[in-house]
Amino acid sequence: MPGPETIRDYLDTAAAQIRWKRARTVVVRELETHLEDQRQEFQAEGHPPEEAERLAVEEMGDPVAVGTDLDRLHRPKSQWKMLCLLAVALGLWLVLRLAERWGVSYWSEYVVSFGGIALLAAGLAAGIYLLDYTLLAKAALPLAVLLTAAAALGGRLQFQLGYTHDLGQYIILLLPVAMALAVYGLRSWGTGGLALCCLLGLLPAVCYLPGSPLRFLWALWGALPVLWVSLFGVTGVLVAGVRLGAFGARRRNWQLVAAYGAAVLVCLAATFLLQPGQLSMSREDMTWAREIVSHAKLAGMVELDPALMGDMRLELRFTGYDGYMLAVLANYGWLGLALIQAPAAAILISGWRKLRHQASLLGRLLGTAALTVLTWQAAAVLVQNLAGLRGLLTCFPYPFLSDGGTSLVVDCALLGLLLSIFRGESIARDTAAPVPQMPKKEPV
Amino acid sequence: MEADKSLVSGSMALLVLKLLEDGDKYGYQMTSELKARSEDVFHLKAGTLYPLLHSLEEKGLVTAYEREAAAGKPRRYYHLTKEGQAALREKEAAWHTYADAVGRVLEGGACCAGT
Repeated sequence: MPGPETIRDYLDTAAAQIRWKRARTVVVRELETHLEDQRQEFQAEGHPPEEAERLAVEEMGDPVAVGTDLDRLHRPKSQWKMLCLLAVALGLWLVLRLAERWGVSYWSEYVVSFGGIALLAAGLAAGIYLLDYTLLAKAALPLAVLLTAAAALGGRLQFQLGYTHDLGQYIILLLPVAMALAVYGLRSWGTGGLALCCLLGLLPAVCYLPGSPLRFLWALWGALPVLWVSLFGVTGVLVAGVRLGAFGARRRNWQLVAAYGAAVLVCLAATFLLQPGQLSMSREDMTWAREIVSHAKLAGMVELDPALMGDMRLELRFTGYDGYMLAVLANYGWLGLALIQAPAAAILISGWRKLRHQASLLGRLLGTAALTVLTWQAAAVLVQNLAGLRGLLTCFPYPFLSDGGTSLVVDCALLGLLLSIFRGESIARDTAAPVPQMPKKEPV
Repeated sequence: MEADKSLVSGSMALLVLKLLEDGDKYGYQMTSELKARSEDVFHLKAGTLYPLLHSLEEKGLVTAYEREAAAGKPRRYYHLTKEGQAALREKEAAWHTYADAVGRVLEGGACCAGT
């Protein structure tokens, strides 16, 4: 059978062997530039255009063989282990929500509402997992600005909605994703790009501060959650970007960027905390937490002076996430606390381990964003609960574990994004960075 | 003169890694350079090169990134990783051992030297 004679025929035949559409586009582009280079060389040697094209195709070898080989190398990497962990975590979440409300007269309504939320969260994670996350790169900068503006306006949005739903606040959790897109979009802009990213990253934190000129974007929950998400998530992604060589900066400079981000955000936090009446931490909460932590058993209910504490099961609220982990510790001991966190912890540890093998900058940045937010949430809830620091570190629940449906949906979306990155690992490529147009100097 | 294919195929990964030792290159650049450096002995077809490069990438011996070349076209460049450098050193040592042994046999072998 005669082989293809034109570049188009060759590429079509090779592409037809590759089943995964995402891989097909990347592979065909690479083969096409090779063929064009070869054709130009033959033309430069004096061959007429048609002859040059035929010779270039001949030089390539069998398109079916190359297509088949590349198809075998580039298959989507299914993330069954992580998906199973998520299913276990969501199952546990549902069981806990229903168990906490056992015996309530309208319990069956909870089955429908919590079951619906768990299904929605699972569906969202699975849907995003199957999507091509690299599509985000096509509009990286507009998306980054849009998400940042939405986070800055989140509280205002909620206010306008008449506090009917706290959706606005949860956009804060997407701020590190916005920073990942900004770093990716501005990666070839040098120091100017880094400065713009710093500015964009700080904007929501400034908007939320009392006394800020941008206070009209005022948010319901105040500045602290935004400050901490900015400190850990946004600065974390920026630092990761510099470490991975974005902005053409020396990779070692990540320490400088980390120090700068931390210093600015700590100053902002201090400004906020020094204002009288901004903190509503109760000494009683802290005493309770200290007593429970110091007397907690390895397994089983803590034994405290009944006169001081009363009945623990009644006093500690399982249905709210203020002190959820403390309630678990008080009632089931350290072992219970460790076991209940096991699925979420396994997801996070597995995620960080897999992220190290990501080849593309976009994948690494977005993955860092998703994992930093989830890890920060888990750590902040744990520390805040066990130290009795109500509202100081976070206003979000423990990911995939404690009460809070909207947060569960946002966390599952972030996990879906992470799994989509892992799924496309074998074909992950960063497209050539657009270089900003500099005005040319006129020769004097 | 072109080399016997069966002799070349086993050492192709070594040659490709060696080409990347002195800087990042794209596929076409590598085939041209291999042809020039081997004085027209190795004609590496793209159909062999790309599956090989992609499998080396899968193993973490090279990484790929896109960058605009001088002519303004975006091209995929390949970069030798630290693991790739270690693999190259290993393959080079193995090749020298093999080539020396083949050489000694063809020239009569150590047992026959001086007889």
